[in-house]
Amino acid sequence: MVFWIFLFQSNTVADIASDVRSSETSPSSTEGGFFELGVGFFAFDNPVRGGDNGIEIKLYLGGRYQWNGLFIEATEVSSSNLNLGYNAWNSEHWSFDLIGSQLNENIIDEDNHELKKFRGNNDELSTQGLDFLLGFRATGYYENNIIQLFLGQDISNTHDGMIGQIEAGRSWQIRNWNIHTLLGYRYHSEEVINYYLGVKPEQATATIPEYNADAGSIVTLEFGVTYPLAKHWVFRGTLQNEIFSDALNESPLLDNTSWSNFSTSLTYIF
Amino acid sequence: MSRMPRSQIKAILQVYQHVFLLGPVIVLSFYCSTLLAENQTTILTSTPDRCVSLHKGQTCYQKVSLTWQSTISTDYCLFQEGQESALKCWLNTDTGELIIDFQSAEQLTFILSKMKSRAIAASTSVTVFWVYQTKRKNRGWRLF
Repeated sequence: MVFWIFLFQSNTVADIASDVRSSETSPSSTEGGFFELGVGFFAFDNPVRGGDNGIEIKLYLGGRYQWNGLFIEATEVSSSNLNLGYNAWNSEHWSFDLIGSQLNENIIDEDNHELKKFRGNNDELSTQGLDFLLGFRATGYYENNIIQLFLGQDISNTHDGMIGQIEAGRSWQIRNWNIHTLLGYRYHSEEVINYYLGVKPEQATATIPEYNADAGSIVTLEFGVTYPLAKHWVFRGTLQNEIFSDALNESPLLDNTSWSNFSTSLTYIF
Repeated sequence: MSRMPRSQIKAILQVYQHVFLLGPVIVLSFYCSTLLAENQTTILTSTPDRCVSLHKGQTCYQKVSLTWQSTISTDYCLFQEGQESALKCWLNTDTGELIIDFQSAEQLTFILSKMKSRAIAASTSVTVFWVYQTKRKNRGWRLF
């Protein structure tokens, strides 16, 4: 149960979730950085056909390090999601980055016997892998509100598609509890959707028909809390729901029109 | 050589009596009171003595118990450093407790003073820690 999720993760492009969670109010242009390691529970309903819902214990890695504008960052969502970038410009409210980001990978779970069997019959599907997008990211900070725009193009010859994303977040402080909400819209070009969720005529079976997708989108809603337990320890809880557009819903590889997950973690910040 | 009148001798003896007999008693009592004052021990503690917020600059919230104990019973007042009005005063007692709702983005010091003299008897601080540092702004274009 390691790699099926990325197409649906909304915060993979950016550290907006990290910023809004930690109540950032200014551009992230600090040289140096931090590293964090956490463990927690992750409960989810699996939108992939034949995929199991479940609860699992998950190890979270995250961090950010910047040197002379060059940065590497990983959100705590997954250890595999790595962004490499260059912080090119900052103003009082805006930060502009050139960024390379690995966003999507095979959606088919190793434990998904139905699709594993289907995939096993298709060499192309069995070699589905990581993409890598190159693009730009602009982040605006207005007091406790953050807005972020991302536009990226695959340069790894994985699907040659394009992804655009806009997210807006807001944070509140209620005593030492930090509460945040995120609303996001993510556009995937048809190359992306077809690569991960399409079924070519030669791949079709009696139960999994041919599917040629159009461009599609995902709307994300997130609610989260963060509580500082000690100087280096924080507790986090996140509830996330993602709603798919028709291009995703109509894929025979999915059987839900949305997916949701709930996670909690105890994280040590170095 | 004329003899001193009896009444005058009596008066002089009374003076000697005050100086040599009562004097040491007065000096001794003054010395003892000074000694007692110097040995006065007053302890003021805050529990907990720290507050952790998520981000530098955020207000940190914490219920803090301020307790004090002294070897001498008198009138005391508890102040937050830099503020004129007392948080609470106690009359003729040698112990006290006050639970406060600490709300600050930086360290605060609390002082226990004697009510009349305002002499500081003890002090304690509540330190504010944070998980994330404030990020420094670096405006404008960055050149390679």
